[in-house]
Amino acid sequence: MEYVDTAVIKECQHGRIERFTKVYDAYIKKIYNFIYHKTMHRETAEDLTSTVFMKALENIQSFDESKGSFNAWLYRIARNTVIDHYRTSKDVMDIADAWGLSSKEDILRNAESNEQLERVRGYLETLKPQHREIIIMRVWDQLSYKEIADITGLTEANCKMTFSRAIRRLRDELGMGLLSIFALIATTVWQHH
Amino acid sequence: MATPLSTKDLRKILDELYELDGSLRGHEEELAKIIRELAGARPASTIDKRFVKQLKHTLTHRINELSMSKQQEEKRNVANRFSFKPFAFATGGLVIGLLAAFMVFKWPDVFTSSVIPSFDESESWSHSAGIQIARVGSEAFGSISIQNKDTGEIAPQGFGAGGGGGYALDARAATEEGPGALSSGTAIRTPSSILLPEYMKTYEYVYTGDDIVIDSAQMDVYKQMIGSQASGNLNTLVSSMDLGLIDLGSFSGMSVQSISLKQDTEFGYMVFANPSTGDVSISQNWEQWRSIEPACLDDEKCWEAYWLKAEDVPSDDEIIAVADDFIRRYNIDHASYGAPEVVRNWEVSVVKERANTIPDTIQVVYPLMIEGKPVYDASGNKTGLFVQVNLRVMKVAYINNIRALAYQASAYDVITDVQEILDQAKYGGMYGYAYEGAEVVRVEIGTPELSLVQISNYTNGEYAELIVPALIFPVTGTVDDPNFWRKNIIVPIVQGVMEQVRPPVARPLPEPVPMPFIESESAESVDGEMR
Repeated sequence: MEYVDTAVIKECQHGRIERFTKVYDAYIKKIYNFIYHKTMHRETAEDLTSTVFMKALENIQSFDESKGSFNAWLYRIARNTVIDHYRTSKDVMDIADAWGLSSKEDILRNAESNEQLERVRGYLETLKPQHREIIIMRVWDQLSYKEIADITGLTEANCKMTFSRAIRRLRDELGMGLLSIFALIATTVWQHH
Repeated sequence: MATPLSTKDLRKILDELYELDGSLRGHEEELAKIIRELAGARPASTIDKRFVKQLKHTLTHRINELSMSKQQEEKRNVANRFSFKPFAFATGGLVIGLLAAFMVFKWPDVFTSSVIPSFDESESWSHSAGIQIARVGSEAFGSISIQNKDTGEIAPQGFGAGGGGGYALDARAATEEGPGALSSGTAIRTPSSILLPEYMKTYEYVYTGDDIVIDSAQMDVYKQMIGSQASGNLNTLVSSMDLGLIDLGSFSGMSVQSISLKQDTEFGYMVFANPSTGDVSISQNWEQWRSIEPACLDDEKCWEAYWLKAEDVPSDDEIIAVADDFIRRYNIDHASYGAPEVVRNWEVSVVKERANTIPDTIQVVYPLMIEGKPVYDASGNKTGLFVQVNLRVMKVAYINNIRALAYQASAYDVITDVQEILDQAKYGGMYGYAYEGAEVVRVEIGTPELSLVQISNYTNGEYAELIVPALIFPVTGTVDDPNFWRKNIIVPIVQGVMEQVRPPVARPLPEPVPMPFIESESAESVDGEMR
């Protein structure tokens, strides 16, 4: 789903760059949430969100409608920005693990209980990063499979299959225990803010 | 905590799962619970509004930089920069096209004389989305005030600039008297013996928006440049014309002040151009638009049937499409204007006054954009290129404000004390007013937009059109008053512009000065400051 008229994007590309504020207004909350879901840390999310919009502004000329939607283009920038952030983070050694997990330091600052923190991390780490990413994008960010596919570079069918497997795994192997952990994540973040 | 998943979204996710694996249907209850709880575990990520504003400000700054750097690469040839081409003509039968062909091809230099004054080459030029902007030193336009400090007179106000339609009664007296004066606009003083009509109300605007941050101590003020030597080549051309009946060249020192052209075809137009200012307007040629006039004469029923009704008004998109088409067809330069908006002021009379007639023409405004900010007029409406669309034939009837856009920009100190700004907004901001003794109606206003407002500045007898930074507060509350139509409250934030603003009347205004020959008791009882 596009949140801003494609005419606005074209205007930006054809000299009326001031129209970019329309893009900003339409996407700021969505991009912030998208990043926050992957960092669980407000200041980090704000920093990365700023980076995303600056990158988008500077590179709007490179957006090619024939290669995909603007929505996917912008979310891809956001995804890559988060990956870059974790790539330079000392705490996350494996880039594949960046998704869905904030650095230990961030979580420590956000969680009230270290004991809860360890349990959260333990359960989250049982999911494959790709599964975790797709679940979050589909359920939390409410992106369609088509959009998830465009953003991640996977096929739509692959995204659907991955989601299905992840849900199956939750049901078959972990049951509702994991769900209480998801709730715990949200609770700890909520309390922090 | 988290936003619950809607039933519709949940259904969609489940159906997508079943598409892949139909056997999952047998576990729907369990799956639904899993997905709902996953969604419920979504962390609440309330975005900080201050961050949103700050980032937008940063982006806007960068946008301005990008706009300028791009345009500064363009050739800085003044003649080419402004060749009196607020609109260029496409081929077609329109007479304005013929004019263009006549001027451009036969006498190519005619319209290449600049309509803007020659700027000092040392001035820093930029070109923001089609607008020529020359940066000059700080406070280059002198003091700015809506009020003429020399005479105490208030600059002309747009009728109805105030919330309820606004009547400029005794404005000078009010502003001269200081404590009783309201805003840069008007305290309407009425003799206490006069009972105010019900429709005369004082509107008090209550701020309900977010925190306001003015993070820059100086901002640009823009002054429109109007050339005085613009029509030089055209004058030369005219002076060389011998029409047979008279030799125009025999008049020395003559200059071209205006050009008017008429198109004698069905639904033809008239074009008015002022080469000295670069203004062009187009209007319907009445003689060629008579086919849409009714033959009602004194037949009231005929007129009743003729008037348009609310249901006859096309959608905004359709109206805008007509305006856009005209602008495209005649290649009118609108690069400096924002996305068009239909002006819906007519609805006030229809909806609030229960009137059943609709004007034949409805206005579309293409807001003037300067460095990314829309420009408002004193009444809080966007100003720019105005296009009137005739609804009966869905054709453009008028366009005005086609103009050569050239400005000087000069930095001025702005008010950074938010409370001072809110105090000004409270009573209507620019040209706000209050009626002494009138009913006070409170209206909510929301978070303002930092934008620009066009003002007329009269200083030392000189008139100038200035565009100054202002906060535009949207009216968010509803007002059950057919006379109330304000959409925005404008507070210019340049230091000095609103310096005549004072708090509202806290006590009764003094009685009017008695006539000299009357030694009235009331005159003795009034406050001494009136004497």
